[in-house]
Amino acid sequence: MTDVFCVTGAGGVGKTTLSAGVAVRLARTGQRTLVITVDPARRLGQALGLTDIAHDPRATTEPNLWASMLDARGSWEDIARRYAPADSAERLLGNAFFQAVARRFPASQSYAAADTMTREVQDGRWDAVVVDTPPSAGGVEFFTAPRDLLALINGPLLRALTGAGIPGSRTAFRFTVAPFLRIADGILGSAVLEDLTEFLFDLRTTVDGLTARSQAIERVYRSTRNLIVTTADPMPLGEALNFANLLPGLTSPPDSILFNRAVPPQWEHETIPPGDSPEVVNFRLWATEAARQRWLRQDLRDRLRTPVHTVAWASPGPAGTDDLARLIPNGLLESGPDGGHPGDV
Amino acid sequence: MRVEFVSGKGGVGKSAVAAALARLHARRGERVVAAAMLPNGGLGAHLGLTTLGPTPLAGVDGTFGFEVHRVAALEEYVRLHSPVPLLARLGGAIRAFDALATAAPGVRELITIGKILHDAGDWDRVIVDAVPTGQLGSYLAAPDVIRGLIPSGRVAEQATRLIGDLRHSSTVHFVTIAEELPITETLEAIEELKGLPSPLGTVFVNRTLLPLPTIPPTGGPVREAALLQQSLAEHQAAWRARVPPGPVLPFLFGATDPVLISDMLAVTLSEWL
Repeated sequence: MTDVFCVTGAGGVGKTTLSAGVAVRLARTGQRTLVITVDPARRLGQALGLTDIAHDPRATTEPNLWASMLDARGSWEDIARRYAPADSAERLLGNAFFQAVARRFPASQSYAAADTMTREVQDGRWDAVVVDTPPSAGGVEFFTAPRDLLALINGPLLRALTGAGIPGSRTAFRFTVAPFLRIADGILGSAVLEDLTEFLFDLRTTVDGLTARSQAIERVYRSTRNLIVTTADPMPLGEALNFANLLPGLTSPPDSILFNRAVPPQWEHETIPPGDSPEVVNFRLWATEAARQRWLRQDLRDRLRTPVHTVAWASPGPAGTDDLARLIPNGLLESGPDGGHPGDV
Repeated sequence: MRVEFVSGKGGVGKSAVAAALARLHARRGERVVAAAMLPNGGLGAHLGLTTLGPTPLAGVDGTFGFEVHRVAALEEYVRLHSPVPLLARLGGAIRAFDALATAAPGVRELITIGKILHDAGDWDRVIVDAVPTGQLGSYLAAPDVIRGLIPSGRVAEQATRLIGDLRHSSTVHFVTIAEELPITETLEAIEELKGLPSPLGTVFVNRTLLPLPTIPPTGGPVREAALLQQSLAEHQAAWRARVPPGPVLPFLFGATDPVLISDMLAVTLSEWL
C-alpha cells in the first residue's frame, strides 16, 4: 500500500521546496519515497543532489529518496504517442492545430503529473509518493485534469462538426446545416474547417485509452492525503479556500495547510520599545504583519476545518536535504483530516 | 489612446499594480479604463467595485473598469464579421462557435485582443490587467498565428490591422517580485516579447523590503526583525538587479483592504512615473 501525498497551492508559494521537504522527512522514517515534480528550480535539484532532469525516478543523495522530474513541454506529445494509433499520432504531432492546443491547454501538465503518480502507485515499489502538483488556475486543476482533457477532446465541437454518429467518413461533416457552421465557414473559410475536423478526428482516437486511464487516476485521487501550501498573499489564500469548495467527491478533504513565509507569531504581542528610531518603527510594521497573518490563519482554519502549520519566513534557499527536512513542522505528517495534531495557529 | 498590458507571474500583484496605474493616471486628469482580460480576478476590488461587468463601471478616483466576457465578445465579433444576416439571438450557435474558438488556435485570443483595442478609441489610456506571463505570448502572437492559418479574407485583414495597432499604441509592463522564480519568468517573458508586436514598457518590482540603516546590537525581537528584514532585503536586491531598472514598490505590512493597497501603490508610483 502506497501513501500518496498531493501538495497543492498557487504558483510561487514554495510548493516544490516543501514537497521535497515532506519527501525527505518521509524517507528519514525509513519509507521508500518518490517525489514527483514539474520543472523544478535548478536550486532544488541541487539541494537533492541531482544534476539533470529525468522522467524516470533517480536516486537522490538522501537514502530512501528518489525523484522524478517532469518536463512540462513533453506532455501532449506523450498523450498522442501513448493513446493514439501510430498513424494518427504522427499526423497529430505535425498538425498546427495540435501544436496550438498543446500550448494553450496547461491541464496537460497536471494530467502528466497525475498519470505519472498513478503509474508509480500501481508499480507498488514505493511506501510513499509525494506529488508536487503543477501550478494551476484555482488550485484544483491537478484533480480535474483527466475530466478536463476528456471534455476537450470529446466535447461539443466535434459533435457540432461531425454530427452525433462519430465513426465513418472523415469528410461527412455537414457544414451547410448548422447555422453556426455557416457563420464559421463564412468567417474562417472551409479549408480551415476541414483541417480542423481532420485534427479532431485524429485526437478523437485517443479517447478510449484516455478514458480507461482517467478512471485509474481518479481511483488514486480518492485516497490521497492532501497538503495545501499558501502564503499571506491574496491569490494563494483564495486558491486554498477554493480547494475545499471544489473537491468534494473527487478527493479527500485537505489534511493540513502549510502557511509559508510566516512572521514569528509572538512578535504581535511583544512590548514595543519606546521611541521612533528606524528599528523600532520597523518592528511595529512587522508586528502588524504578524497580527494580520494570525487573523488569516484563524480564518483558514475555521473555514476549511483543517489544521494550519506555519513555516518560518527566511531568505536563503535550502542548501541540502537537512535544510529541506528542517522546513517541515513537527507533527505535520502525523495530523490528519480527523484531528490529530491541531496545527499551530 | 494608449493600451498598457500589465502581466507577470501569477500572484505577484498584477491586479493591484494595474489598478494603481489606472488611479494614478485618472488623478492626473486622464480618461482611464482598467480592463481585466480574464473574468473573476482581483481588479474590481482594487478599484472599489464589487463586481466588474462587460461594460465599464465607475470606480474610485474617476477610473472605470470592465472585464472581457468571452462569449459576449465573441458574439459582438461574429455580428461584426458575419457574411450572412444573423438571427436576433445567436445562443446555441455562439456556444458552438465558442467551442470552435477553443480548438482553433488564436481565434479566442484574437477576439479578446480585438475587443480591447476596438474599445480603446473611447479612452486616453487603457490599463489591461492581463493574463499571466505564461499565456500573454499566445494572445499577442494570435493575430500573426491567424494570418498563417487563414491567409486571406476579412479575418486576415483584421489580424493585420491588429498587429499594427499593437505595435504602435500598446506596451507591455511586467510586475514581479525579487525572488528566483518570478524574476526568471520575467526574464523569459521579456525575451519572448522581442518576437511579438508590442514593445516592452516598465518592470515593476512589487513587495520590496528595503535594507535598514542600522541593525540594533541588542534588543531581542527588534533585532531579530531587523536581521530578517536585512537578509530578505539583500536577497531581493540581488534578484532585482537582474531585471531592467524600474519602480520599486514596497511590501505593505499588515495591509488587507484592496482599495487602500492600490492607493498606497499609486502614491509610490507617482514618484516614479
